[in-house]
Amino acid sequence: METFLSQLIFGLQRGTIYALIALGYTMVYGVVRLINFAYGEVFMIGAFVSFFLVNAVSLPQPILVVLALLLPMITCSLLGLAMDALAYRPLRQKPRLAALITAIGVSFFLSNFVSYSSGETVRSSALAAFIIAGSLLLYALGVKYLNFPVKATPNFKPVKFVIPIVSLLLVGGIFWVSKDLLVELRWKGSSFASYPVERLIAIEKIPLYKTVYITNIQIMNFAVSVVLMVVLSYLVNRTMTGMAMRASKNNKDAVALMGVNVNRVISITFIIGTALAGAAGVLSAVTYPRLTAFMGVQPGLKAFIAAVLGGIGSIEGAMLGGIIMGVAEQFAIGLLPSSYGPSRIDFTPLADGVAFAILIVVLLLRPQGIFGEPPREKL
Amino acid sequence: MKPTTYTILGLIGFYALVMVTSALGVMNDYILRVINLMMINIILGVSLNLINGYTGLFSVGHAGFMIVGGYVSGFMTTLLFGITKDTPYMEALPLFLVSILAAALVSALVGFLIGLPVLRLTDDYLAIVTIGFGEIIRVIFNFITFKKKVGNWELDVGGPRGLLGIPPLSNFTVIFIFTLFTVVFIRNFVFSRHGRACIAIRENEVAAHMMGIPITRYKVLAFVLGSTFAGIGGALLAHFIQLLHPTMGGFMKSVEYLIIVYLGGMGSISGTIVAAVALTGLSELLRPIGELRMVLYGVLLVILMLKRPGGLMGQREFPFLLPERERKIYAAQNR
Amino acid sequence: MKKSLVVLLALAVVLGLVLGGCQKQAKEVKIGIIAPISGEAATFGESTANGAKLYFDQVNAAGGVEGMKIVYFVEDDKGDPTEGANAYSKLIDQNKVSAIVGTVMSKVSLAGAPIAQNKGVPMISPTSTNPAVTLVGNYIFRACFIDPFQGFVAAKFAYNDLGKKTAAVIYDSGNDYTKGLAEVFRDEFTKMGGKITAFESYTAGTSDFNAQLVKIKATNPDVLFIPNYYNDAGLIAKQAREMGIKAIFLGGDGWDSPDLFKIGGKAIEGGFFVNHFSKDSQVPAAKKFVADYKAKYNKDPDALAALAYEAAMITVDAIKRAKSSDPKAIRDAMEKTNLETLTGVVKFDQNRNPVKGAVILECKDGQAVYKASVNP
Repeated sequence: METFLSQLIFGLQRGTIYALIALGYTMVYGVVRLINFAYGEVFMIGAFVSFFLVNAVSLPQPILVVLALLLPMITCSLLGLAMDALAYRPLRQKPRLAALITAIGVSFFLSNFVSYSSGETVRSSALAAFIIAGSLLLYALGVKYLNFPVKATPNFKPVKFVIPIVSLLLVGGIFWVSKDLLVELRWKGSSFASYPVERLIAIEKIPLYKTVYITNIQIMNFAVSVVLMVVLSYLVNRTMTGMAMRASKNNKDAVALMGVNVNRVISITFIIGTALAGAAGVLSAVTYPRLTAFMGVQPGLKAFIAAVLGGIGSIEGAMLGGIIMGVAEQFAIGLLPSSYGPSRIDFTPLADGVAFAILIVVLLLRPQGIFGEPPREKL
Repeated sequence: MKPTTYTILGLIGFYALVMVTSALGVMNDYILRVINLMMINIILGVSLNLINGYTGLFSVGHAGFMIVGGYVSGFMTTLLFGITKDTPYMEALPLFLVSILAAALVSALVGFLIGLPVLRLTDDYLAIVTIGFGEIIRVIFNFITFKKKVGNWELDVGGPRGLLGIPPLSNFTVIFIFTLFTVVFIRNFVFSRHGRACIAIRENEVAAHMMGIPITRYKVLAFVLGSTFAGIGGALLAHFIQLLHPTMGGFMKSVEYLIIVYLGGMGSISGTIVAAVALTGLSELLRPIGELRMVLYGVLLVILMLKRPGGLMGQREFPFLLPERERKIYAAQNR
Repeated sequence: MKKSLVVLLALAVVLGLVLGGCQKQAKEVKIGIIAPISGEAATFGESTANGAKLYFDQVNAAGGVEGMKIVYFVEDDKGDPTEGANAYSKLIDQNKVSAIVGTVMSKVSLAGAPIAQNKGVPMISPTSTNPAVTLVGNYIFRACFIDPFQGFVAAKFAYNDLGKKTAAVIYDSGNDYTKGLAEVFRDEFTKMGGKITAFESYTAGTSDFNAQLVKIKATNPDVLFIPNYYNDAGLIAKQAREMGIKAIFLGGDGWDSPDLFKIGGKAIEGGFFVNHFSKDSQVPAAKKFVADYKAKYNKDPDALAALAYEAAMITVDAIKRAKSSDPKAIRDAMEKTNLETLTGVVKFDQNRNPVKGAVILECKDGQAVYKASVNP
């Protein structure tokens, strides 16, 4: 009984993280119909931004906690915006395949870039980012206020540069702040970073039943997820922007005809989605304090499956799907006999396949997921 | 028939050149090795092109089929036939060919089993499922172990140790012949009415359906053919590096093959050949920059899709690959 | 237009490869170093390359070996057998090395060994523990002890020295190093009379071991054997302690890294692991090595660096005794090695595995402290 409860609680812990990532995934997919392969990488960057921050700055704990959650979210949302502007938006009219491949490319780039960096490269890329961003910003300001010579193309809008610049500045700023620390830490992207959880929060165990316990971190994860889910739900269901998002899911052209800037809606969706990924990254870093450059690959995949399970486009579905996945995986490992069982064969590696088994079952039996709408007519 | 004669002469010339220079020692074994790998990558790229490029599917698990083929033929030659590196080549060769055949059949079967339920899904889901397939294959091969006696040690073969001691039966000649076979087969398929059906499916599935093309059947056919040749490639690879490990069939590897296909051009066999050669060569040339190479691959994909989604050759082919009729049209267009 | 571009590209590639092979002849001996400098094992590759380079640089500074300057080439095997095999081929065929120190992962060593054996270039792997590696042929050597020995040492330590009779094991099922160690430990411990209460596995990359640990906790073992690399071991220790598992942690040479304590924190305190050498070793050569390594690379060496250093020592010693840069002569000399290294005297058995002892280290106050020695 104790084992069962313990496994259940740990399964929920796993599931909450999946749920958080799935939330963002499902939102973006619902509107843009694009599997963002790079989503897992955004999650990873959120974790690292938080890691750099916590290591570099020493502030009183409450402020640090809030900052450690908020800053990665902001950074990630700006990163998402930059990704959208540079890689996805130009391909909106082209066949979906191109966008998928670009997404794989972005994912490859981000994870390998982090793996390739070290304290030294971060320092120099922060410097480079500052210089480029600074000069672009100055140029943009100059164009706007001082009538710098401008190319005679009607599409030239200096404002277009501002957001990617600000995001570069922010990311660069964080790296800059921690550059000396990183060189001191001799951080290498290819190695494993250990997240100093103690600086943020002290782990406390709350006993439940005999030796079964729940930690304050697990409660915090769950609370944050629920709060974010509620906020998201409100955003999507009760605001104008949310309505535009829901409408874009169904028919982008009609929405555009209604006078809504569809590109802006998509960008906002991206911002929110990636911010959620960032939050998930921080919470994951606190729960499993070991960061690597490739830590986003598996969670990204599994979160997508969770979103599919719960119904792509449905927020409650993402939450439920994530939790079901986490618990299912946990019990798969818990119940599959390992080598000391009677057959002396270790079945636990098969638990890895649980996620994909779920995917296949869902896609074959009920492709719209738990809360999704039935699929449209296909020949 | 002039271009075909040139082609045949060119191929014979290439073969002779490689054999002579390597025998004389002018070309060292390292370069020969790279050339062999280029050819294996051509097989894998062209087979993936059939699935992704010509039929418009999005399979990201091609390395999985390669591994399946490699393991099947590897198991056969080492455990079933008991060939070692001391077995005389002429004796081992027919058994090797049998094992390649087995590899092809098993890969085809796996392709069929995977393809049938999965191919009616749209791009995105197909991608995830094929990635999952690659992972499941890895898990399965990590699982299968045998005990083998080597001298006075009892070794675990298979599983995370990898399949060891595969005899080096793939040499330049064998690989060359199979590469030729693959390219010719797929080229003939593509320019036949079956190939046209696949292209039609890629361009507009609904219209193709309305023209009476059995969509699922052709998708499965393309998938099975692609996986068969991937299996052959895997068998050749296994007997080339004499080792096979479950991690070699993972997502990263599949993405490398994807890059070859999309870099070369989705509907172009020649493009795939060029891309395979270029990528394998670059991969060796760029050794000094190490990790940065992967970063560049990512950037390459993005820029490729943004600037030149057709790839290097778009849907064009070298004239010598085109059949007579196409050649005339091509010449007429480019007068 | 397109065709000429393609031809140009092909020519460039071939030219690049061929030109890369041109080199000048001088009084020098060429040695290759292969390590996974990028890829999944990048940290391990870096240490290995550093260790070997340190020794070669020291030898060159002292005038070279037998009047020859050591020219070393470092190649990245990227942790992949195909790439690794290419690296071996490049070093042998293109750079024409006389000996190779490499590589870290057994699966890559196994891909490269046939090539080295075929071409008659001696190869010594610093850390590949798969017994099959040296069985490829008589040109293949190894600088580390193999899994069966390490597992035995660990089991004996747990049963005799710690006096514990029950143990659980948690290992990475996708890694032949940890799996091999785990299985040997299980077999040896049971043979000695101990009882294995749980034998759990996980897949590489997992950071959530709770599912397995819950199962282990239910069986209440005295010892938890964690034969994994430090990154997993530290995390497992942490999660185990959080869960209330009170077992003593025991591990293998994969624990050896300063990062073990960064990741494991307080949880790993009081753990023990089998290693090749100890930083605190009073052997003068070892002390000097630690000091030199720290001076050059600004951090403490780990076991991989030390083993690479030893592999380099063995190679240079073989060259010295062979008095030539001829690969066959070096191989023959290497077989007869009887050398005092960082850990004691190294001799090779009939399978070209070194006969050497191990040490047991204890995790104390954030350091790995010497506890005991075990000789074969």
